[in-house]
Amino acid sequence: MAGAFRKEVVRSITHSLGRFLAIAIIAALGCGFYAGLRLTGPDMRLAGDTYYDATNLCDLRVVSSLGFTDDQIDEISQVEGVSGFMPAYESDVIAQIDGVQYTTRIHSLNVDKARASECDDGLNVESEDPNYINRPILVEGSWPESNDECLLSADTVWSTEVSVGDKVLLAEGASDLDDTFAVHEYTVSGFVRSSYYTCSTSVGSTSLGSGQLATFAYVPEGAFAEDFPYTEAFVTVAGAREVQWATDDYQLLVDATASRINGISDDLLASRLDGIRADAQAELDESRADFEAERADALQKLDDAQAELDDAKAKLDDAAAKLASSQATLDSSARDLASGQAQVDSGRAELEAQFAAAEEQFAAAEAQLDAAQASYDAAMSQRAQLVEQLAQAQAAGAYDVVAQLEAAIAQIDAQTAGVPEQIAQGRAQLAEQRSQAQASMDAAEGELASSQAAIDSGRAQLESGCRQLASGRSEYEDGLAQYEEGANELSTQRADAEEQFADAEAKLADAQADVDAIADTEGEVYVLDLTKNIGAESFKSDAGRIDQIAQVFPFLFFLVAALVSLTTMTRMVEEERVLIGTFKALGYSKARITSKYLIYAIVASGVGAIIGIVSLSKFLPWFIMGAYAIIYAVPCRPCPIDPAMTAAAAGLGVGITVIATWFAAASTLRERPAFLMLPRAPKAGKRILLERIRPVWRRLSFSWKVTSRNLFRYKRRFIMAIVGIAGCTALLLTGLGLQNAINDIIDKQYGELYHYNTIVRMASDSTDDEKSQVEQRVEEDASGEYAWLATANKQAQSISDDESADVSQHRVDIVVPENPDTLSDFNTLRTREGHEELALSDDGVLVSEKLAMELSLEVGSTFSIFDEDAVGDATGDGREVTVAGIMENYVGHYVYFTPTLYEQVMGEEPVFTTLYANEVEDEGAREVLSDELLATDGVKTVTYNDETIDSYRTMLKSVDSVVVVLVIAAALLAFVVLYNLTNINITERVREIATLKVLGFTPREVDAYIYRETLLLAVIGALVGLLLGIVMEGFVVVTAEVDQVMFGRDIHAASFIIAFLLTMVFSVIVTLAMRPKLRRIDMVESLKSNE
Amino acid sequence: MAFIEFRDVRKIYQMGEVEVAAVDGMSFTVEKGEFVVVVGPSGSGKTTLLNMLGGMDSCTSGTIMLDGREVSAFDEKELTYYRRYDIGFVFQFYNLVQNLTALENVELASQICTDPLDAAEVLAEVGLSHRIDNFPSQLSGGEQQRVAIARALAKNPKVLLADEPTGALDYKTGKAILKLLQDTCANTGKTVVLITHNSAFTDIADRVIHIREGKVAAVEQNAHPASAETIEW
Repeated sequence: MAGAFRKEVVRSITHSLGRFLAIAIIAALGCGFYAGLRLTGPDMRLAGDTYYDATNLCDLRVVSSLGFTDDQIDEISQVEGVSGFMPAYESDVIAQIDGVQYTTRIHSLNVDKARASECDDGLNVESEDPNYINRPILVEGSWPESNDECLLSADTVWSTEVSVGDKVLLAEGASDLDDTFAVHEYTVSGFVRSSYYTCSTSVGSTSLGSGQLATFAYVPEGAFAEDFPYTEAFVTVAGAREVQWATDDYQLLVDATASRINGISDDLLASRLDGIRADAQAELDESRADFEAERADALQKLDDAQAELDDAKAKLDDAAAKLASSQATLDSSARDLASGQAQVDSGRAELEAQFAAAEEQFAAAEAQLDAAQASYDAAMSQRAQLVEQLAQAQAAGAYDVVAQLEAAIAQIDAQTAGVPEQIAQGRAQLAEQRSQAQASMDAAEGELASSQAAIDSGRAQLESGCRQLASGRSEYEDGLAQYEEGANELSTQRADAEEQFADAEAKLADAQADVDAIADTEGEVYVLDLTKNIGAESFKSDAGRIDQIAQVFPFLFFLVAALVSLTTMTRMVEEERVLIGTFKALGYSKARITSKYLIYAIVASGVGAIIGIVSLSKFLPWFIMGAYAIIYAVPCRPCPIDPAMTAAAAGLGVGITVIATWFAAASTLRERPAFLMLPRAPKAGKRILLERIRPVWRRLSFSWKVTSRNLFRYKRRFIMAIVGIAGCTALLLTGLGLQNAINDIIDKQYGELYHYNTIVRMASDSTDDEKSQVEQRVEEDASGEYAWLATANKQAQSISDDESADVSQHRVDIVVPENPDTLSDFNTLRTREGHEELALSDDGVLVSEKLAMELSLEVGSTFSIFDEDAVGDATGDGREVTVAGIMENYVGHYVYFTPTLYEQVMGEEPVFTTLYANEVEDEGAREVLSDELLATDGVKTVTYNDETIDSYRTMLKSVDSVVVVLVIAAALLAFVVLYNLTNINITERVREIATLKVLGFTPREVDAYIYRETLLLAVIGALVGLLLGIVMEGFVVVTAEVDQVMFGRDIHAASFIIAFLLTMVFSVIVTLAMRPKLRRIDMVESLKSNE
Repeated sequence: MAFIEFRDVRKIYQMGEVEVAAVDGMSFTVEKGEFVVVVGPSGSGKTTLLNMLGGMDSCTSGTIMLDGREVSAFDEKELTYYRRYDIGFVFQFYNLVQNLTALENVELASQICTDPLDAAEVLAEVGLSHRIDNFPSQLSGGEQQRVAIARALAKNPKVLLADEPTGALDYKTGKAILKLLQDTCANTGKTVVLITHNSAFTDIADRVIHIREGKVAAVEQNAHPASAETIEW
């Protein structure tokens, strides 16, 4: 190239730096955003890959519903393609830390391996053991020293401040805590970051609590119960490390190994079942042996008892015989005695009769004696009287009488002489006789008495014999009774024992049947790759979302870049019209002349492109990953400059500029030199449509008229300005709208839809009593309003007539209010558009809007609900339900039933064990409430919506930085476009402006005259941009949405206003910046000839 | 007192190290209602004179008076209002706003004045009543210059300044324009200052100011100026 020409080219650059910069900057923006955004997705995947490789993240996770033992782990390790393997335990629990409950997945950690590993850079965990998989990065604290220490997640947003030394209490387990864990209370020894949990806000789903895991923890392997089997095996795939994660190659490699492991899943199950069966059989055999021994023992005892009884029986019988013989003896002696008695009695009777006869004789003799005595006595008494009369008569002297009396006395004496002796003799004789009789009597009597005595003693003997016999008999009776009792007892015992034996036999038989049935147990082995890892997968899909967004946004910048280049270069060519003519006249070829502008364009756009690409393909991925760091704990942000992407972006940017330049130059170059030397005829004024509306037009001032006409006069500029400014506004609106959309998730969900702040979940078998306890406690606080609901996690699936079509499946929360009429006090059910109230009815379910969208449901359509299995897949038969309404909802997928409908569809009664309540907001009171409620039997979890809100808010902060990027991009776009537009406007109309000045327009009036156009364009552009922004925001929102969440669908009025005003602010800044240039225009320009 | 008075006016441009005096001590007076022609060769300083008189530039030293006011002492703002109310400017290249019709171009000037003439009437006076709604591109050069004159007149200024008004026009049209300016001066009594390099125009002036190398070379007065139709060049 000729020196002079080259110099001219160089100078054209240095002398028009503004123009050069305009092209360079827009090229930088276009290419930079293109490359930067396009690279962000790949860079994110690279970051993931780097992180996963650095921490030796598993490629596959093999889970068995039956668990594993070392045997199965061995089998897995033998599979071709398995390069590393690590058996592990895991279990979901509700852990209580600082009084707050967290649904937590607890993993086992091989503490030795962990301690042997090294991590200096917070990323690469070095370990010599390839079987040390999912290596956590210790962020704070130390590895556990003992089995009662644990590690918590460093990236979880805790409701309270959790630090090393805090206690973690396992409150509730998905499986029995005692069966699973040897230790139930842990001390936090440190905090780790785990690549297994890339996403700190979505850890996974569980059967506990709300169904969502809040965090994870690591405990030493020894903290798990001794005979708890491995729940899973982590596997790395040979060669997968060398391939980038989330690529097709990677997936192919992993899939191959996964299918090989799947191929042995039956073996794994069989061997595991064999193991389980052998264990169970051994246990059963042992218990059978125990049983047999026990039975023999029992039988022996029974037999012994029987023998004893028999013995007793024999003795009793013996005794009975003895008793009988004694009785006989006694009877005969009794008979003897009786006859003896009879003899005695008859002897006595005889004796008495003899005695009586003798007595009679004696009595007669006595009587004779007595009579003789009596007559003697009478004679004596007469004599005594006569003696007295004699004494009286002697005293009286009557001697006659005395003699008489003496005579009588003598007579008496005579008569009585001898009588007393006779009597005494008789009496002695009688006494003699009587004593003789008496003696013989006495002798007989003595004989009788001794017989009687003999009899009596015999009788006494008999009696004692009888008594003895009686006591012997009663003893015997007792013995017999005892014996019978014993016999009864024994037979009962025996019967009982038999029964027990039968029971035990039955149980053993059952147990045996169970053991035999183990062979038929439906086990399932799941081989899960990283697409099933919720963290890695959502990181990957977010990278994919960025890819999608990257398809759209750079287009806007390129469009603007093309327009800016076109107008700028057109202006340049026009400005240099005379020069072009001169070159032409001098004989330079068209191509040569064109080359000047092409070189200019290439240099300008090239420089811009390189700077833009290099800086933005470093900055944008770095920045966006930084924004995502709030959600994704990926500790590295690689952003290499990609040569292919650089070339593509630069090629596109430069290409567009070159095409625009060629287009701008071509028409001018076609003109003949002579024409080129002449000033170009000014573009003719034209009437515009507005003029036809006379009343309006007449009212416009000249500035407005000229502005209006100018707007339509230069179409390229008009389009450039509109597209550029619209793009700016659209970007702003997109950013702000995105912010609205995301903040609305919380504001609407928890502000407008949910009117409760506390959820109490109870065990499904809670009693009414326990429930009423909870009610009472809940009523004590604040409003005391509450409602019971049944809740469950299920899988919802779309129904498609077309069998080949992919069915869409989502995890849903089933909600069945006990009292559907009062549900609206706690949860507003309404349509999003129009806010129409929706009522629960037995005709069909209400589904949340996002679910309806995902399953393509509308009112009246049907879908199926399945139960979910251990890894969250649908299982069992689907139950078809009809959609009665689609309700506004932002977080989660919900299906609302009435109790009747639920029972009808599910075939079981709903169990109302979830309670929504409105409780105090004071944190201290809440802690008390939590503690008290949790102390109530049956209460499993108490959660507060505020905790959820907080964690969302944190997560959503990432959006703010995206908004910042968009605002900056928008501002840059606005500046470049407006600067360019204004610059062209000014330079092209220098004469006009100078003329106005000469005419006496004040600087302000001149500004207004020129800027009215710029600002009007800004207004039109901004209005167009608002429309464009609605579309763009809609696209971004739908693209950026994650499965379980629906973003707000409304852009707030404030956002429209802010986007519009910001655009205006940018425009005003540009106009203010350009004002000096306007001021500098010399009025003398007006005198110059038209160029 | 003279209507316009230049007293020892200098305008010195700093061209790098060198000071160049474009106007180097110029003094002259113009009476109200005169048709003045300022004539001089290229580079003589007549454009600088025009700039200073038109309020587009200020002088380095000296005094410029117009209608009793010291224009040379005006600040930017006063100069703007001076241009606005006191000066009507006619350009060599008409400097019409392409996007405004003839009428609108006139109104563009009159709308900013306090006491403007009716735009349509002024256009009729310059003989363009039939082209009132045409855009500049639809008008011939002469017609455009007439619009420009109408625009200057509509402001009802004290002085009409014309810078080579015929420079871009053919001979015949140029003459017509000169005639228009002369008539305007005669009919409206406005002071008209016409700047040209063409000495043929001196015949039609009431007063001719000859400029040479930044100085007034001579001032002559015609007691009986010729009509514009009669002169030839």
